[in-house]
Amino acid sequence: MDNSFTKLIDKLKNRNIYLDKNTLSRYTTGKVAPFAVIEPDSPQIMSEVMRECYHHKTVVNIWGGGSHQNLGGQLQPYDITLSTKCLNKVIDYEPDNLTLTVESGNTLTGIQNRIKADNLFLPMNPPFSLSATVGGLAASNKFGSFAQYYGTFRDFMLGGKAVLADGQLIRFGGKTVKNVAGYDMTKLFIGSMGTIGLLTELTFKLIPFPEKILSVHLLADNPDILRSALGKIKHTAYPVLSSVLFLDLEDGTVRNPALNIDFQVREKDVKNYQTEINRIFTQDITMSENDFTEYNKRVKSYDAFFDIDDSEILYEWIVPKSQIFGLLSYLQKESEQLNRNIKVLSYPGMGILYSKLTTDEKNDVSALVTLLTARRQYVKSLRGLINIKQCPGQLKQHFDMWDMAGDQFKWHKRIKHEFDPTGIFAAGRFVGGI
Amino acid sequence: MELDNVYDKVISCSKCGFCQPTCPTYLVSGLEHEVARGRHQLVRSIIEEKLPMNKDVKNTIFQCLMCNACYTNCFPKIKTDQVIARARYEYIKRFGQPQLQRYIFKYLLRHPDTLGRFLKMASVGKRSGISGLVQVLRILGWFGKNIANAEKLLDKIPFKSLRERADEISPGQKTVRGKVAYFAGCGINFANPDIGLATLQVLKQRGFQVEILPNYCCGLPAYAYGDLDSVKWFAEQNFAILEQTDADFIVTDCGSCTSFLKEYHRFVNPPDKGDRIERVLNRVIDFTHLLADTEEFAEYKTNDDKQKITFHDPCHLAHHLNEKQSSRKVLSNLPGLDFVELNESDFCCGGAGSYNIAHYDISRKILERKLNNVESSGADILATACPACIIQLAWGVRNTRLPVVVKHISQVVLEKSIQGK
Amino acid sequence: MRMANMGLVKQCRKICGKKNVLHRPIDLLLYEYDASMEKGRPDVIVFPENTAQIQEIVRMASGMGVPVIARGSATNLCGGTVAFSGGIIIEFSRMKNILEINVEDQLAIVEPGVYNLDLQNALAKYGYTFAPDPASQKVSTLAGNAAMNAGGPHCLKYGVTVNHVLGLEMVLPNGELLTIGGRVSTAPGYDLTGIMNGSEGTFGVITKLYLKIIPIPESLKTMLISFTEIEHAANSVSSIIARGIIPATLEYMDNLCIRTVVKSLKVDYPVDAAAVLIIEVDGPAFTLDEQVKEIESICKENGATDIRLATDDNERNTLWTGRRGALGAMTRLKPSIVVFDGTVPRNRLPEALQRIDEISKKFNLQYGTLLHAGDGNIHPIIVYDERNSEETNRVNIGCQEIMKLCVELGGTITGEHGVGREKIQAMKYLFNPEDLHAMKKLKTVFDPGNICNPGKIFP
Repeated sequence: MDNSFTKLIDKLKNRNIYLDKNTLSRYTTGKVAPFAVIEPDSPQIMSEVMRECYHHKTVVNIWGGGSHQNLGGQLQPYDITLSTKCLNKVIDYEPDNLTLTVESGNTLTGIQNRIKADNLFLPMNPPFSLSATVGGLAASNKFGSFAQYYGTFRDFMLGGKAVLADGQLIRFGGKTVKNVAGYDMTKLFIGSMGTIGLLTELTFKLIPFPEKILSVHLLADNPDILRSALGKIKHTAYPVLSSVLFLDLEDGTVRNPALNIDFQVREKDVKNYQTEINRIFTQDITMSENDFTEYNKRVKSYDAFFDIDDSEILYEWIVPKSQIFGLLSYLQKESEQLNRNIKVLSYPGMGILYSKLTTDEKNDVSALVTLLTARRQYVKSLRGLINIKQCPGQLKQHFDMWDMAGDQFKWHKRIKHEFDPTGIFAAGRFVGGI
Repeated sequence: MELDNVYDKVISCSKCGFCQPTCPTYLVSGLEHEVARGRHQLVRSIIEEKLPMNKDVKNTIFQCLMCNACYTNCFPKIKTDQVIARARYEYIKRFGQPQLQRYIFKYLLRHPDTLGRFLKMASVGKRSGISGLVQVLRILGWFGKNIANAEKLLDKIPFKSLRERADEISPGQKTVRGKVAYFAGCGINFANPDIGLATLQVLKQRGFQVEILPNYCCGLPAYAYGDLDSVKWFAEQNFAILEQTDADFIVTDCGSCTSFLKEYHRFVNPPDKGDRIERVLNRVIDFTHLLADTEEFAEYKTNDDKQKITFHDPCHLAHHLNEKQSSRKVLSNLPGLDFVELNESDFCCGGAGSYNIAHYDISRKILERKLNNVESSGADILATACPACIIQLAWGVRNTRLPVVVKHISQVVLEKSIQGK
Repeated sequence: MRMANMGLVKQCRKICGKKNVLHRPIDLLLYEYDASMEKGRPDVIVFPENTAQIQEIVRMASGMGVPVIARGSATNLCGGTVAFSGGIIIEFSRMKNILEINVEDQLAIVEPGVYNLDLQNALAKYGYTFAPDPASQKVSTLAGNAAMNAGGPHCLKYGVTVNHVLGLEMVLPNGELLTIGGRVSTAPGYDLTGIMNGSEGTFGVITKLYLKIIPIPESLKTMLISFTEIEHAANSVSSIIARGIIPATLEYMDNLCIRTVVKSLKVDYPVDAAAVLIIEVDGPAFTLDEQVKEIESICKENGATDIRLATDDNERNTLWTGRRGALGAMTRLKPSIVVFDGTVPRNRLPEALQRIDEISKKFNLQYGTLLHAGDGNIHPIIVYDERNSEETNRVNIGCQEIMKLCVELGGTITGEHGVGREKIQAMKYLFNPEDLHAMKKLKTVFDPGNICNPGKIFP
């Protein structure tokens, strides 16, 4: 620990700073623990801390709920962890305006519970919403199946505040649903993985709490049947909140296929929709009707898919919507050739598919790299892309986790450099190792 | 400066740009110079002395078709044709009126007999293949250098004018439903007398007593070239003639004449103005409109063959008079015809009087767009209600060999009507 | 008068061909304006026919330090396409092709100069639509919509332009062609597409757009609801939103607007009403009656005096004719017009309307109000005569006051028109220097030489 860092710690006494091993190990990303964990309890203090870090060239890793710390590439060495845990106030809540401004350390579930009382909802269901903070979710641009209908953070985050590398606390956006005053900095921070600033405050557009969900379930193992069922709703404006497809590919065979198509409807319309659904689907479907709260429990079970253990690799395929089933049959063949089991969860309405592979001792790195190369080549032909979202830490260094065309990367790097010229925000996890 | 008269108009242009997608010249050029917004700003700058009235402004002022398609989309409802006519007036005052125009507006059109004699000579020339004669006479080409294009426009020049053929009309119904004073537009009288005959015949069949007015040119050609002094002369002469008739309706079968007669209040100034002008102008009605209003008196043949017919809206009907319903009402009732709507039916054909001669290239591009729409309508007959449009469209159809016949609505109606007794 | 820079003209001609370059005084004069009151004369106007020409123009401009201003139909209301400090105007009237409509991938790919409505019409054949529908859609270009992040009545339910742009191809100031986003729903890295939308042409020149298209809702119901008090209408808006109903559109017009449209557009609106709301709901036919009933009862609770439901397409179109034509009709009252588009939280609308009225009285402004009420987006339309400098001055001060008011109520200075040249001073009401400095960092990244549409956005 060098001298200037000691000075920093000295300055930050009484600022919720933790130096004990226990805490440090809990807030460790990658292999090396931070020298300190700081949990500032206001944006102003966060700003002060950052100013000091900037001054002392102390590299920080930002920590929200810790649920997605293993996302992306290998985190480069850093000095301290800045936790947003104590940024947990609700700043401005206007149910009548359907807007909510909260500090970034609030968990999504916490927020949902709070606004449920006013019959409102923040329309997203990313995995791990119990522990994940909204700041972390926004920074990693997480989304779940509801994104098909309600979009992602970029569609309902209206503004916020962030602390920049030099400690400056800035404000952007606002709490109106329309706002074109200057650059849309909100978009810049969404998905920036904590590389250019630390979100302290976020403003969201809310929606009325959904009333009922009518779900269509289909268990056909013939992809053509699944495809035709999805075709029934594709070119319609029905309120399809979510459509999720699960299946396992075992040595080229489709196992445990399940397609859920969920319609968000008002209580008064349930009967009519039931009739309508029975009319449009000619496939062998079952239908269920749930209150949104109950339904949400089922949706939470999807999280299990994303609960990656130390031996798994999670791939994210993003392809033009028409290519999902082509991609599925590619994976089917692949599983046969590789003699592997591939687990799949897809949001076909968004052209997104997640696949999981389990690694084992025998798995040599070069085979996995070859696989990724082949997949990239294939997905390029579909004009899509493939990212590795998560994988065992020791493998990260071998992969280019993010799929980005070379000519684009330069601009991302320049943005990073402009906002964080001295590299105060820990690098490594974002595109091209930013 | 006389231009100040239009200052209030151009200053109220909010520059919203809604004229763009309606403006034929903008659509073929993509230039701010060639759209009402730009034209208004140009005139405004001249008035505000930010831009000199020099020859650079000529194209912007003179390439407007005066179709007023922009007016239909215009929020502050600026009549661009009025701004442009004023600007042209100012321009020719500054730079002089081309000799040929002066000859036409100040002499030829004021002496229809001389014009008639010239046209007879031209007609002979054209029929006998000595079309060079037309060139010598420079009758049709109001701009000398474009005479070759002008000459091609008309496939033949009629030897006799409508007035000379008035006796060919067969007697009409015995029941007299009203009296029509027929204003014979130049395009009908000299270039398309067959249309005029058809019009008069149809009117008789529907029970109208018809007189042909001894009128002069309505003045629109002079207006289009900014010769507002001549416009005043034509308007005053014609107004006196119109005032003398006691007919119930003053009818023309040229949409341009109809709309321009309706504008006479801007050019004539008799004592106790309001009343007298109103009495005359209220009786002016386009033939198409009268047709639609007298549909109940129509007696059509029964007819089994099915032909597709479509209608091109002349700008002066569609944009100046906001009259688009009548033609459709009439055409969709005709036996043996299937009315199909023409895409962009009220988009100018590029004829615009003699615009096709003065601005050949732009006009041709505009016409091309029109003909593409005609082709995709699949119509066998293309009807319209203005002789200038007919000349332009027929020329286009001849050139492209499009399998479609161009007719005036009166000719279409006549063919389907039972001859009156 | 600015004299043509012949060196620059020659360079442009070399790239785009002589016929695609304009530079005479009259040309410059005709490209000095947009639909706002701002003016600024360019040095030269070019009409590129393809992206390669744009790249060369931009590269050349960068080398010479000459500004480039991308200009679509110049229908923006904020001076966004005005060549404030001279330079090259790049016009897109020769790049108007729809390149691809792909309903299976639910996207459309277009050239920058395509009119919004032309795309809508092309999509309608497939039962699809592009949700952003700014009032200028007949004539505004899609690249312009993206550059200004345009709004429109349907934003309430469907979001603004940025929510419907999947990707862009752009020429950056160094002449490089960059494709961001594309045929897929999301891409890794910073959200460059998100940043480019609404950047008002200050980062580069958009040369191609990848747009998200959506199926047209099965049916629509449109209502015209009258109120005798402005407050009742404003309260109804808040109540509808608070009750959790999100109609497709929720529009407001005040009495002056009503009377003006009745007079000039011959629509059948209640001339005695202090305000009307035009509310449209969309979705499967069987869901609409209930929504209509609910909205009716909320409005009645808030004092609505008359509720009219359009029974067919014809009536529906008539209702919309009045709304769509309102801004235009106002232009007939006086020669000049200025429209602001400050936005406030929706529950602050009643207060905002009342205080705008106070401001107008204080500065003796003649104005009518349109609102995209569901969004809290206020359009006070002030009519005046720009030839009267005293009146113009009052209008200017009044507008600044209105923008300050919007900020004070927790809103913003511009909801959908953009900052452009017109509102740069007002940016200070909303942001402090540090906030603006952060935005400028982005500008530095993409356009360090400040050649792309300089003099805009920042005070």
